[in-house]
Amino acid sequence: MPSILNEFINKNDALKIKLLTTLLENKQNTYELRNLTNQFKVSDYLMRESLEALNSDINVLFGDDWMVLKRGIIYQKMTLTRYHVYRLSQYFFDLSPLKLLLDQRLISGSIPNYTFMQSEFGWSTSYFFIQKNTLSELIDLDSPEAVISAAFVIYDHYDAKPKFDHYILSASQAVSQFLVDKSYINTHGADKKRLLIAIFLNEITHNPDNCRNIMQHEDKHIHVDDGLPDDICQRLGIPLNNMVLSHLISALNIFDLLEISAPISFTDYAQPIVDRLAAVIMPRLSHSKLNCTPEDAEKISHAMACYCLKFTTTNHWALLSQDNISTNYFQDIYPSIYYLIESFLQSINYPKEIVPPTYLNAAILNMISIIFYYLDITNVDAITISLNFSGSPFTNNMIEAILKDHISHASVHFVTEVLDDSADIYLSDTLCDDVSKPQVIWKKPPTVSDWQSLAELIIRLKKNKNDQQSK
Amino acid sequence: MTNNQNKINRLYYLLAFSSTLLTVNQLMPYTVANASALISQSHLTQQQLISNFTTNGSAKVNHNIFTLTDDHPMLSGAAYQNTPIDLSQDFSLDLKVNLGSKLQQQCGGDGLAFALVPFEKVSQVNHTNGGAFGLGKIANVFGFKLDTYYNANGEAGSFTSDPKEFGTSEGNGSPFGAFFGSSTDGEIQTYEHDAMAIKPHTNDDFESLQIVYHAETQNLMVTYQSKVWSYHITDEDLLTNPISLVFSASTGTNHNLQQLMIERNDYHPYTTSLRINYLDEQQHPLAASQTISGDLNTPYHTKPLSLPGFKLASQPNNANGIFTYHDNRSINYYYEPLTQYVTINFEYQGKILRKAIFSGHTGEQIDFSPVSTLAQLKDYTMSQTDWPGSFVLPKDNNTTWHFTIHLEKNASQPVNNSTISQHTDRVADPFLSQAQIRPQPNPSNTQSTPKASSASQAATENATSQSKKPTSSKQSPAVTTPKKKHVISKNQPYALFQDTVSDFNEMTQPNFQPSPASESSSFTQVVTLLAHYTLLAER
Repeated sequence: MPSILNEFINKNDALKIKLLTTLLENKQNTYELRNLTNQFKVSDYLMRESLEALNSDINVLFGDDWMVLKRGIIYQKMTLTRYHVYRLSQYFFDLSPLKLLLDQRLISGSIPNYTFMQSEFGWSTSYFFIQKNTLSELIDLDSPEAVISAAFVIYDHYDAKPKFDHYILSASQAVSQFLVDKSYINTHGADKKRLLIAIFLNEITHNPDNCRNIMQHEDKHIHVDDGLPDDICQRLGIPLNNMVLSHLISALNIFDLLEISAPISFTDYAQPIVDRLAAVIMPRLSHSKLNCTPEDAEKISHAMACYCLKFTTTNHWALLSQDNISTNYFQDIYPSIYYLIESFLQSINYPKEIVPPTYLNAAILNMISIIFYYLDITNVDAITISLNFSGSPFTNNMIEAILKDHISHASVHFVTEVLDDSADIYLSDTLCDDVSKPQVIWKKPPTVSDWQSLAELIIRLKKNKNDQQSK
Repeated sequence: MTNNQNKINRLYYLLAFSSTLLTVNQLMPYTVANASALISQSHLTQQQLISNFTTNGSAKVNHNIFTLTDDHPMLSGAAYQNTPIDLSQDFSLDLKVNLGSKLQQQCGGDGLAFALVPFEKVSQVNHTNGGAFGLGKIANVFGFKLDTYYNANGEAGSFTSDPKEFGTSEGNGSPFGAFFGSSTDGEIQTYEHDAMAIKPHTNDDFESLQIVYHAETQNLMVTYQSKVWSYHITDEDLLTNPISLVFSASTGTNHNLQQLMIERNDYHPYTTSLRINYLDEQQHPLAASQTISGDLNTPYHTKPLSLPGFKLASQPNNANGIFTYHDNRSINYYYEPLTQYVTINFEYQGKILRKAIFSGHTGEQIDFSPVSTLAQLKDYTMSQTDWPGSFVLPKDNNTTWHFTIHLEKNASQPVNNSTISQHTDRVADPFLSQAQIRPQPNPSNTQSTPKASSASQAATENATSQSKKPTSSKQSPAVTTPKKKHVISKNQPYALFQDTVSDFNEMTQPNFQPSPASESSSFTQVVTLLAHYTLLAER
């Protein structure tokens, strides 16, 4: 969870979530309170109270006590999963004063005054101003783009929904259907898309003064020939012939919710950027080991260029999801693709930085997914394993089935009963003197460490192959 | 027998009490000395002279007499009082002086001086000899001399020549008394204005010399042989800084036995003071400052105050030390506010449904409105509460504050409290009933709450029913003042330190499986491992 999202739940509830996540990632059944206290650098009292409070929360939500704390040792009575963590996060978010304030900001278009919060929610004046200042520090409340992006990221993260008016919800449903009909979006993940659309429509409806730019001027990057249907505009009370749709499409694009073949084009500002980036990527792609056709190379480089365009935004909330992503898996399994894309990004960022360093991993991951979409990568960085088990044919068959199931996604192919060096790895229950390639011998059903060493061997061979080819 | 016993007891108590008083008296900070205390000494004995004065050069103590120089040439001797005096207070000296038996025309000399020397420079006394009485080259010296040798010529940088009216040539003059002083260059100059001749001294008798200083008028008055010299001291350095009393005498080629007796010595020792501040990290005072004062070179010890709600952040380096001349310093004790915790329990029939925990520092205000929480706990309404809405963390060493918001079920779902059972409680609980009735939207929900073994379940229920026992007491009218948690209550679920051995044994028995699902199978381990190595687990 990006740490900024932790700010949207109470400090103590955030501690509980961190605590639960830590416990979830360890395999122990019992934990020493003292270790947790040291790890979290909180007082013994706060740790005990937080554990008890967490126990109460879990009991309220799931009906069972989670743990017993005896003599400084925590005994877990039920196994918690990520599901529980997300439900608790949602519960804590609902209890958070910042959520209440953000709700009010969205629904009414502005931060309510303290007398309203005092009469409606019993907030004291000082409490109101503390919360208001905190929220203002986290989100630029005067910028509709920032509010829309932040609200979407926050509500999406906590699986919560603002309490929008009914007409906003029905309008967002209609807009969503309109976008599906026009092939801007597909029906996958409809809730998430509707959430963004609802937040967007709500903001332009309730905050028309601040949204004048959205109404009157086209989006900086994206041009669409369509406009919002008139009946929806009338329902929302916004002027006809507005430029809202391009901004909405741009928002969907920045959160990767747009259909790949969406009928969009770029503005005079964005098109040269896209062209330059595509021109940087395409020749490198064409000359790579990926054997892609000129048509594929054009599509991929265009898609990558469009993707990189989003990093020119100054709205950091829109890019929050691009933070803290690990690409180790792809670096291991598809080293040639990984290092190819890494070289793209070096060129993309020259002479002017487009993708900031914090988002490089996200960019690599998304650009790999673009390659996956257009190309068949089953033979990229492929490793062949020769299977030769001396048991019955059933044994060989079973081992092959298990292996395929477990590791074929890593572009690993299998051959059987080949006793030469054509395969990269020889996997058998008997040592073979005729094979000079690495041998993996499983005389008994494989243990965890057998799997582990096989995985490490595959990764090492892929890396060696890629290094040799690079030379 | 009994009476004797009583008497002994009484005596014992009296003794104990007085010794306690004595101890307390000893423990009282002696650093809090009275700055205006007058020290009055008369007929100082040899022992007093040795302990209160430092001698150097040819000076020595015989019985109650300072012999500053013997009747030998080229000597210089001085004696100065160890405790500096304060010229903002009066002092007086009754001395007896012996200037020797020979006139300067008979090779007698040089005379005797009383001087006020800045305390920090007193160690320089007697680094020169002869006409300057060992005081030459010391800046800001003031004094009175009984000069028995006429210096027709001065010595540049050390002293100037004597007034011409008292002699014609070097070593050929009449004895005189005069004030003298040096400026910043250290050259001793005889003040001619009040200089008066004195009768020649021709035997080794002691004559009375009286020195009286009135702080109010800043006037120093010297009486000798019925003559009176008076001088108005204006030098601010002398008036405000610690000053040493110095008696000195010297001989050159001419010489005399020169002695001094102190009949009476009344003075106020110079004291210095230190200010002790108790501050927070923003330099704001947390308590009234204290001032301690004491004589120079005496040790002082200070201790931090115990301030409720604050703890000492660091011990100042100068918490203990010695009063020194340069003191006008402060000792700053810095405190940081304690972290205090406020726990607000939403309680329904002894069962806590939600804890709101806040932390803050002493003096901070905790605001909390239960409205949001009540909105989540939909089927409950507040019945009683001791939570005032906002709470300023008090200046108190207690760091935990507990408040309770007592809940009751909404009227639409009446529950008979007296006959409530574990089962009905569960059904009546909106969350539990929803969990049981509502179809689970997420497939993981079905495995989300694996039950503990039946033994532990029973233990849990048992514990739950135990925890219900104090319900009636908790349901008593709401307390309007916060409960201080000095002792971990037995009602606290985690305070199971007592009577829990059997429970604990039950927990550690092999059949107790605190977390059955976390006993991972080989398959789980393989899947986990593969996931670790091959899947996007790190995302």
